[in-house]
Amino acid sequence: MLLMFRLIAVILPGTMDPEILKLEHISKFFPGVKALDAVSFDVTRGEVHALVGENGAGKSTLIKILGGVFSQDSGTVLFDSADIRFKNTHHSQQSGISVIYQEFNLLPHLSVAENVFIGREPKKLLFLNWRKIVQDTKRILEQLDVSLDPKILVEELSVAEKQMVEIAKALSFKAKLIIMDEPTAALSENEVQKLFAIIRTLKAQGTAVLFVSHRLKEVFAIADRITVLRDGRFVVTRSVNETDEKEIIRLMVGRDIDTLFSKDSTYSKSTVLSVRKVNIQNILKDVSFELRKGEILGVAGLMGSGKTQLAEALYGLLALDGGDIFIEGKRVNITSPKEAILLGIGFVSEDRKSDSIFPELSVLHNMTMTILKRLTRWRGIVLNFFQERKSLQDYTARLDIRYQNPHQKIAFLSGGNQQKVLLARALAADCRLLVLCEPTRGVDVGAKAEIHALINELAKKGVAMILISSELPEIIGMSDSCIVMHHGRMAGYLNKTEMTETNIIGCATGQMTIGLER
Amino acid sequence: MNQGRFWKLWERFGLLFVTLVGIIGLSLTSPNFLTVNNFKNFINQAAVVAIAGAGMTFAIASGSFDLSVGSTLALAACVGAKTLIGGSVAASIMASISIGLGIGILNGLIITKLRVPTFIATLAMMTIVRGIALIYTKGRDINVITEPSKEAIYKFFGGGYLFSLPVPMLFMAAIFVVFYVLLKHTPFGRHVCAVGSNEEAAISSGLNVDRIKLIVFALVGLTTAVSAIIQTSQLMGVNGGTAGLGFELQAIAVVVLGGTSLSGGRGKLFGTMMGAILVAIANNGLNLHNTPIFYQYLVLGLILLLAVSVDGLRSKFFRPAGTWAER
Repeated sequence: MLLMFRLIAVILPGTMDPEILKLEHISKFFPGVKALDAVSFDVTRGEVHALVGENGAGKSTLIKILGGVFSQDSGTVLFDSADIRFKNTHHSQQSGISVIYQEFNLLPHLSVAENVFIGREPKKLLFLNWRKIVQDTKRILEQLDVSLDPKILVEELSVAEKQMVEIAKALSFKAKLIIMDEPTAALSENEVQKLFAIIRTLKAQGTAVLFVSHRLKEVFAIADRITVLRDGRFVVTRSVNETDEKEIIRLMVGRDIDTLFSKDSTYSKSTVLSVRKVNIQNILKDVSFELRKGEILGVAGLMGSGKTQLAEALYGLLALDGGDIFIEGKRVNITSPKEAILLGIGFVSEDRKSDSIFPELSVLHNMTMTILKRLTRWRGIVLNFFQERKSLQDYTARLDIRYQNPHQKIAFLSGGNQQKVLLARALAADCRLLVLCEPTRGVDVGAKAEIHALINELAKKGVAMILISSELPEIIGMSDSCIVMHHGRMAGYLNKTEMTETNIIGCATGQMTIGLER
Repeated sequence: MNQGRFWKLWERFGLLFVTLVGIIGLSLTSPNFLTVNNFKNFINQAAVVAIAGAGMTFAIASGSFDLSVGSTLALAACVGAKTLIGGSVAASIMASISIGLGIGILNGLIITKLRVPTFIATLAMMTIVRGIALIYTKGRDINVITEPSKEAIYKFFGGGYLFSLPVPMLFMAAIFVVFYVLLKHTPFGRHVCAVGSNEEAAISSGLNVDRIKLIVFALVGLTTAVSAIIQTSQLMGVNGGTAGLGFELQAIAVVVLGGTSLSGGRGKLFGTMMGAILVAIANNGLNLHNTPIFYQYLVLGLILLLAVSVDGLRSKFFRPAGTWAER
């Protein structure tokens, strides 16, 4: 097919190149870092092209060059057969590239239609042509087969719907290439399918999609070709038919990884946590479960099923309306994270950026924040920097955290390393119960395996864990038992043998209930 | 020298450099600049702003600021001055300190308990306290005329010498040392930066965010009271309506000038002190060249704009290593 395109292009001078985008030897340096090193590959028209690589492989830098945020230090970008150097984001959009970042660029207080046409609203004389804005948006949404009211405010939309608005915005620019950065990271299984349907529509209409993702299953389900980057260098471009997940993983990390999702089932009989008929109005209804020392309890469920709120309630971030929580047999009333920490509960939040890391503070200060009182001399008044450094070194070695120096700002670390620092923060406070919300979200394959190994090791040491995840393989691979939430209720309480994708999805969608009598 | 090294050095020594340039320039153009008496003049002026600036640095590091310090300075000065006329020096100091601390704590309570946004709470407090100061003094000047022995002791705070160094400077130095230790070497200081960097994360790290904010505002009130005492002692009089007018903006300006970002998460105490000294030198230079006092406002504004725009240019043209990982 490709060859034929090439032939036609050669035979008929003046016809379009088959490639919409051609990168030639793109390099980008930052002081002390070579973010991209002579990367070359191409994307053909109407192709879904996946870009994969670990964090720090150079994907985001590349996206930002195409999006006009950075400009390359050397190399050329051929877009739609023209040699372009994007001056700014506006220039890149005007040229026909739309980038949908992981964190959307939408204005929550404006309507869907206003967001789609922001900055280039059609006007009638001096005034907004409100009717045209709404109609055009409606037309684009229909084209995508999405039923959304253009007049609704964006803040009322779900993550998946917001993404649709971003795609509609891209189309309104008549984008020839849409770049999606981790588009499925926050979507449920159903929503992912819906997104894929839209990507296929885009493809049929001749729009190329550069799909950046960590989730290889999805990459293989949607992409035509896959390009792998590693350490800022181009590794390979493969057609999906010529390769498999295992090979791609090997190419991404440069070694074999076979420890993905595995937990040795070793937990003792003593109960650490027991939750009885916990209620939060309109959010949770009669949730009960038990957790033993060294056990990992998976919590699955679609978005809005209450699984995140359950975690927050256990950490004192949400108040209960009823029900009891017992820790090692003692009834407790957890009303703040401070109390939770004192009770030995650790928490790793689902949204690293907005409610976990201190972006302006260093790696060291981020890690030791919860235990400063212990790292002092003179009756807890003055910090003992020596002791603080020592505890940092302990956890750095234990968790294999990689950074240049302890005083580096945490914002400069990769997602995986940030997550490890946060795990270290929770662990440093001596927790016996660890609540992990999406611990591997936005984390690359290598770091993911390491985090799983770490969770495993913690379980062996007797830490009980609650693992909230929207990745079913993670739940199934890591947990000893699992509860499935549906509309704030438990729809399933599965043991190891009952934990299959079919069962979990069945419970999560409310089609069945399993094991509730336990 | 490459760009990165230049900006790193600039971040560290830029303010010092500019201050030195100012000192050299003024010593060349004015014969009166490098005199002991003049040094005392501008260091005394700098100390008043710098000390309140130390408290303000904590407030800004914690992600907020306090607009009420000008009025607090006025009320603390008025109450202190009146108490001094009728009572002892100790009583007067205690009165000023209690007023400062009290207003600071009240600010903190309003912000943490009533959940009023910092800007509104301290703005309201600014006019309330100014009103109280005017009512308390009926709008009249207070001139401290009392027993000479008492006057002599009180004057010591703003104009005395210890080990042949001006007392306000020693106060400033002592407060900055203590605050530096507090910020960099205690859990509390770390917690202040944590709250300023990400309040949500601070809560989920188990920090008592409300208590931290309350203490920060108390510190602002406390330092403002110290500034009030030094200023009253220098002037031996106060007017409730005009004392400390625009002082809140000066205090915030020297903190920002010193390199502390208004977005919170970090505090640069040494920078605040240097900022206050630079502003005092600039004002002093204008005085020595017989420029009307009105120009001081203009100059402070220009210095502030210049300092912040240089910072803005830096982040535009130079991104430190690793910025690409952020988005």
